[in-house]
Amino acid sequence: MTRLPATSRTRRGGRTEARVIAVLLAAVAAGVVVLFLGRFDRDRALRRWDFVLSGQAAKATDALRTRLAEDTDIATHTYDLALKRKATLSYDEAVRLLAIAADTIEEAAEDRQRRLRALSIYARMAEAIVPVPPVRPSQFKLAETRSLTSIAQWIHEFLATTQERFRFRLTVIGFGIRLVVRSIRGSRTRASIDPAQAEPYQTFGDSLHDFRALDEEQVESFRQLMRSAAATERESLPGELRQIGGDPESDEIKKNREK
Amino acid sequence: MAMFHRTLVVVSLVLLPTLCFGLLRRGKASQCFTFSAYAFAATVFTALILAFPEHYSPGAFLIKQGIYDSLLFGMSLEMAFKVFSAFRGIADRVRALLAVAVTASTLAVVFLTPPNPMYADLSRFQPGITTGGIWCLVFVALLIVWYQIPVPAFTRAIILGYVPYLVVFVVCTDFIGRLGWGAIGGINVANALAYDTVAGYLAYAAWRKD
Repeated sequence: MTRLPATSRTRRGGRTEARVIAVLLAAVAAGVVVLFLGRFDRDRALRRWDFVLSGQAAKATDALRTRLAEDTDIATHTYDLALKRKATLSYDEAVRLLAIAADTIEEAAEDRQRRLRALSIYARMAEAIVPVPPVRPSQFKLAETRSLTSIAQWIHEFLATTQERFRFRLTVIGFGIRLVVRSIRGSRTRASIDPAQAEPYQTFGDSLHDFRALDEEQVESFRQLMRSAAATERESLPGELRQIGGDPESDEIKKNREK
Repeated sequence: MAMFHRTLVVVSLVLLPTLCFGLLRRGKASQCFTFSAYAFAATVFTALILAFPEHYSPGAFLIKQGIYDSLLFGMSLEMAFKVFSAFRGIADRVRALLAVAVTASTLAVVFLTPPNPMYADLSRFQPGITTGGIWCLVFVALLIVWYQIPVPAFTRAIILGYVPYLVVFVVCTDFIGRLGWGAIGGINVANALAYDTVAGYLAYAAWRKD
């Protein structure tokens, strides 16, 4: 109990500035703790560790590839239909289909950004990350994504650790997705202004191609992360984590946790 | 006001042993030995203050506060060691970051503490020292969140409860400097209210089955 006894000596004032700084810093500290640690969900962290240590890399990678391909396939199919309508001079219909394809990609882009954020968190949890190559610029068709990845390829070499390189790779993919979405929005607008022009459709097709390429890069990042996680030395981890993920006892632990 | 404050101190004397017994009964004392030592020390000091109020001098307060401050810094170090040592991949980085935090707060303490600390000057040096300790704990909390370490619920409760209380303590100490020792009655009540709230929360967290 920090009770303060009274004293006969009274000294007011003093170095106010330093005191104010201390009080402000303390208040900020409390805010930080309540905001971050207060929202920290231990069960969710355990589930994340469960996922990292599950060692089902190949299966999880295939599932992710299939999941990502679904959105892009729908958008590509709609884009192909738009091209056909344009060829038959049904411009209104072509622009409408292009808008649908663009909406699909925009929604998919949000999903990709969420996944990239999650990958970034998992990357912190992995004991070490296997060396990852930079995103290849040659596979992209849009000038902006090619420029981005070319610069990123250069910066990649300056980063010291594989962790940094991995997280930078995720940042580049995320930024690339933003550029692709911007390009898609632009080409949709241009197509609605002048539907007979070929350029917006061409740019839209290139954007779709780049979006698919970025998806592949994301899947590759995920695969490398799973490889890294599988190499985590479990013996050093706390008992609770040692048992989860691919361990025969893990089901029982999960049941207990659910209870 | 004095009566109300005394009541709050009595309440804390109920809550603190409850916390200590909870720590032992539920086997949570080992999660952070330094915190357990703090809870025990706080129980003993509160009992002594209530039993022998005439001996509770400014000198006794400074000794008690010195022990609490040392335990506060020890708490951060012990928590960091226990939480991160198992994670070999990040242990080195955490150690380096923590070394920076401890060095910074140690420098702050060294520069803020006068060679002969006087109780009358408490509001000049104590807020800085406590803030240094608070930031060490906050640093551990941020690293837990950043690396997604599934710390035991009670370890989380210690940081989540103790840090806000320490902020109230810092503000109360600062108010002594601003309002003068004449306002000590009201300040003591505010501090005791916050203390009882946190002691209650920690006692509940200690007894709760995880």
